[in-house]
Amino acid sequence: MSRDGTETDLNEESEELRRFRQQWKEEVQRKRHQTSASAGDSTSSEPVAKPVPHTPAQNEVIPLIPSGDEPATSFPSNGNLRSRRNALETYRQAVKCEQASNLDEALRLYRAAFRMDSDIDRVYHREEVRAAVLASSSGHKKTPSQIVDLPTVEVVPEPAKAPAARVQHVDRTLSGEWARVLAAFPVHLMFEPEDERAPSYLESLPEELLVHIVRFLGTSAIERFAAVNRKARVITLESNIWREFVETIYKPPQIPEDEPLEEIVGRYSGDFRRVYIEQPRVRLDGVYIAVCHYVRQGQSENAWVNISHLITYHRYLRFYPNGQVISLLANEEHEPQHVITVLRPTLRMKGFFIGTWRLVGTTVFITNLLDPANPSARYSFQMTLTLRSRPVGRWNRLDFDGYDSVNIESGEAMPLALKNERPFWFSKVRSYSAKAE
Amino acid sequence: MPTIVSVDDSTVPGEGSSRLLLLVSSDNKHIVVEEDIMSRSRFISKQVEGFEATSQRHAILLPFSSFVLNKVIEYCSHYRGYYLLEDDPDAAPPGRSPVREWDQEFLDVDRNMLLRIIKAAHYLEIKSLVGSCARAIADMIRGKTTEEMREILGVENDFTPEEEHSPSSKCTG
Repeated sequence: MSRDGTETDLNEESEELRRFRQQWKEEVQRKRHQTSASAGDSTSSEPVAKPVPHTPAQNEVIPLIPSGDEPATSFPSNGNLRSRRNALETYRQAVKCEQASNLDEALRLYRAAFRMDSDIDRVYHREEVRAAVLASSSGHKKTPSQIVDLPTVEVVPEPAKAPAARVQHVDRTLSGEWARVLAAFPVHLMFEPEDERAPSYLESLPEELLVHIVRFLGTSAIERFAAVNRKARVITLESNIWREFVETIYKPPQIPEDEPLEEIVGRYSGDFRRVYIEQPRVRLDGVYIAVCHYVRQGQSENAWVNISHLITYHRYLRFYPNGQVISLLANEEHEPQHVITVLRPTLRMKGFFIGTWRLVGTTVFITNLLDPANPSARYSFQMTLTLRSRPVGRWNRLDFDGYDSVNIESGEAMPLALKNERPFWFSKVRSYSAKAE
Repeated sequence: MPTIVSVDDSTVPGEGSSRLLLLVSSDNKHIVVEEDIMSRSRFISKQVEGFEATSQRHAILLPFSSFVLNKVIEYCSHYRGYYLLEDDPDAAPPGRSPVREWDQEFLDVDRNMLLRIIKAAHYLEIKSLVGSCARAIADMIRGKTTEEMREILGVENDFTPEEEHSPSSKCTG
């Protein structure tokens, strides 16, 4: 599509510019032949070739586009992409120079851009069209003539492809901000091929297959895939994808026993994706850690010197899907890196407790914390914490609301001081998540 | 392995218990394959049922190339006689297909081939193969950034700058 556009453009260009391009092209050709001695010459100082009286024959032969006999690089690597961006910038400057009749500089820049990316003229053209379409569509709608002027606005998919691209008709329960954003999307969405010489096979897949593929991605990969383009975004909003995640995660103790999941889903108007994002859940794929400090006054022989010790300790909470929770209070002797690897219900050490947990709203109740090595204990402990999401990440912080010791015989709870306690922060642990999910 | 023969007549006579089917690919290659190999395909089974009703056997025309078709036949031959839960029309389909090592190796092909196979499997209604392909495609992009996914899948970004930085950046992990 845009290849035709480029040619149309060429025809419209002034004679002068065309001659200039031609000269430059010839020069490039010449340079290819004489492989020697080009090492140190700065290209800008090199004089522009003498104007050649142009014959029709010469006019025809030299298209700006590198001809198809060059191997198509359909899979640019990461590095390629970066260099493409650089090339694009250089090409832009070249165009500016050309428009300002600064031909020497323009020539130098064009040359540099093409050296970085032999396809740069096409890429540039496409970018320009896109920018223009954006500008005209985001601005006022009353200037349709602008769009008409552009040579390649037929970005509308060909009719033959349209049925596959009609994504809006799928039953999709949506609410909130995405409903609004989607309303602004065009009706026909497609996976436009990055390189139009290579057809996009992804585009030809029926949507149900795409949904099937997306279901195999984890949630974070789904959101990265969604950012690929508009159609990908629409596909990932398919409620069924999220239904699976929601149904595996939201069951007691993540939700109260007496509150069925349907009721919760109903509060989000049946949008499973929003349930997954907005409904609080305790994360099971890692550990919540609180780093606490206190200052202990030291003994000093000398009345003039005051010794105080800064004591650091860590609290760990690891939650299991079966309602079990383990709590560990460990001092500085135990490095977190080490503790994380051994933190499981079979661990026995000082400060280690096992209890049960449940989540109601954003409140986590931890009860019956007992030291498994001491079955005859007279006291158990219980914690009340508030689950929050901040500043980035989901449900990654736990704040202490209460901490009590409970007399097992009488059931009487005695609040403990929370003076030194700090909030817990979540750390994802790779080896935990396999079990939890 | 199935043999490729060119048959002028479009009907293939049945041969007792292991009858033969004639499949014609989009590049007009005629492929003869034993019927029970292809019974994994719901599409083919339905066609064969149709043949029995009318007691006439026809070639089955398929909208993909012999290259892809042969790959699918290779898959079906490998699992000939095996029971795969996903292909059982009476069983409740599992949420996701299980990992099968042979499939992973079998599907170690380039992106476009993989997409062609999944399309063919979808057309032929071979759920187990669709599932394995979907898993393979997902594996290709799972650990990648958005930009890398675009490159692997070879698709263009058509978001406006505002859309790109709108709610989609919200983390859900």
